[in-house]
Amino acid sequence: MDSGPEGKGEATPSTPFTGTKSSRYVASPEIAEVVNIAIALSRPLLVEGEPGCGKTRLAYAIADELGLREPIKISVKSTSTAKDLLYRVDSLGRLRDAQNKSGQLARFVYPYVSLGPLGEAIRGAQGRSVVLLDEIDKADIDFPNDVLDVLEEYAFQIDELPAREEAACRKKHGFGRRVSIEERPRPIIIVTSNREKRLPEPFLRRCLYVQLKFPQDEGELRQIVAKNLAGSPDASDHAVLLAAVAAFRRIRQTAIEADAQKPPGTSELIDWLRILHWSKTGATDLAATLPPYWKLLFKTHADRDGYEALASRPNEQ
Amino acid sequence: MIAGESLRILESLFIQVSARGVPIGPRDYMDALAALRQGFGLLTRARLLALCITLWTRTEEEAALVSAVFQQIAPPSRDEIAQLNRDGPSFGETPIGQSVSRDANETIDNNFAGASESDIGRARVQIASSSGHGVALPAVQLGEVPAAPFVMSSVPLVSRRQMTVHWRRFRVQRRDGPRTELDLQASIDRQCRNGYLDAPVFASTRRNRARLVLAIDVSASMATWRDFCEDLVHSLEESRLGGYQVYFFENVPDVLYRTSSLHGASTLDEAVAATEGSAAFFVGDDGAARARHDSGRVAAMKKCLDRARSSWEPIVWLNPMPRHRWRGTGAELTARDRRLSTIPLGAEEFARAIDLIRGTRAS
Repeated sequence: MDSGPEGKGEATPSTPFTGTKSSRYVASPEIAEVVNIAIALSRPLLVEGEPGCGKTRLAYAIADELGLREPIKISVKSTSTAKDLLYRVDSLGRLRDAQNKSGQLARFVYPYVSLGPLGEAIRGAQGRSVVLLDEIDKADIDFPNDVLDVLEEYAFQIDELPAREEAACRKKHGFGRRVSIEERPRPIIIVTSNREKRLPEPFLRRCLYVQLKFPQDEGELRQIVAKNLAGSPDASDHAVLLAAVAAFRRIRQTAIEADAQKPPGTSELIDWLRILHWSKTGATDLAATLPPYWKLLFKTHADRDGYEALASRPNEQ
Repeated sequence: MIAGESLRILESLFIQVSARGVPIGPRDYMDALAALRQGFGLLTRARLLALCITLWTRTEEEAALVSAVFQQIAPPSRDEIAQLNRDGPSFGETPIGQSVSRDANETIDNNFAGASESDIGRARVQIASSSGHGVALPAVQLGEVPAAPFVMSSVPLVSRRQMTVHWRRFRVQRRDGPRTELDLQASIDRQCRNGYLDAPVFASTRRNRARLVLAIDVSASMATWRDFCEDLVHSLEESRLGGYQVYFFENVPDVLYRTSSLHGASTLDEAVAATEGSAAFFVGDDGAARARHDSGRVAAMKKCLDRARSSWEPIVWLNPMPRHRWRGTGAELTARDRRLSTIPLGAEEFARAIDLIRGTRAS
């Protein structure tokens, strides 16, 4: 296989991602193609789309289909820093040990150094992994660029570790001051964003981009739901599923017309179906304008009221 | 489509798209080559186009541009037109929003001279319809006209709040001043090494040391933008910058004033000496409002910018006039100057200006 102009890290996965083999996720061929390009070029994949459309699940589907272990999920917070993801130095633990007169260990830093989730993925001791940076737009504006620096090189340095302790650290933990991917396959980086903040231009340029859209086709929606509920005790019978999907599409369309802040998405549909199953709702009940438990599809009072007002208008139905 | 043909198209597309302002570099080209080598984007022109859009574009406008240039470089073959007519456009084929240029139509004419008129016509309609042009719009049913009158209200292109939020992204954090902040890490380290803590370690507080010079053209041609400029000045008050200095000038910043009514004059040399090392943000139409080329003004502007560049870095010039109005004026020459970044006014552009001031490479 040609390694490409940049050499290492551009190996095509032996099994390409098709988007259909995962037990709980369906991705379109176009999205699968972008995922494969991102994997082949070792570029982070930025996934955007309305809440509940399956951004996070895409990462799990990739790991599932490519036979990798469960993704390393990093839930980004407003206080997250790139360093937190790479490594930690347990200073308080060291202070505690220092109180013990016989404890000589506290004189060194290396016993208290451990790698963070991204650091572990770069070290690659457990093989290739999928790293999910979830909701990166929650973080401080410098966070994406700091992470980008690391993802350019797939290497970082532990500044707090003195050079004289490097050998001891390598012996104990298997890594030194500088941790790098070397010749191992690079992790697959999936980054999700809800567009709460604008991401920096260099970060956007470095990522490949995919926007997940709500399935327009009823058949595709049915397939997604059926996959998610397959084998589950909550799986509804086929007639209920068909009726629920049709009712859901109607509700979603009306919610969009009512200018809902958060029109119901796929995850709400799946939860709704579970509740319909538990409550033994029949397919015929779902033909009503306001079908059973419809309120559970909405996240705010305003959206609920807006939908109810529009859906109850006699002329509109 | 054979690989050699794909490489030819890729190279031409890269050169033309980057020349049209899409910020892609050699690395993006190498990535596309690597993807081609690994089998992506081969076999059909639609797949190649989809690959280029995936790798090189981040906005719908950029995707439309790449599509349009692609159509010129690699017009569809007769077989593909026939296929298009049977199946409709496939993935990656002319995304919505693409404009069909006259060149694209000429290319179709030139390349399919032997094809039947109906084939060519259908191809044109297919491309045009997928681009949103060339097909009559359906009649709009307006229904009842609402009783309330339409009210026009002005909406700022960039609100003062947005400006403040953007300025807060301009940070150069440095530890500076008296050591008043407890450095927990260093204190623990000292205790662990010595076995006892003789005194806690203190460090200087982190402060934003970013400094900015804002220079605003207040000549008559900028009267339209007076409110925007006032908002801009006020937004700096809440910016939490390490320091900023606002100046005003008329047409050319050779003399800078402390007030918008042009009081408190100082020469550019004096201003530069007082604020050395700051980033500079100019706001002015640079002759674009009157759409005239004034060679004396252009020469004076060049001299000023040369002087400013010796001490201010980076320099961003925000020209509130639309980009097409810069043509043939001093603004066009300033925009061509690679040592500073000129941007038009808009929410996205303002955010981009802050990126540039933060030191992000210009596109």
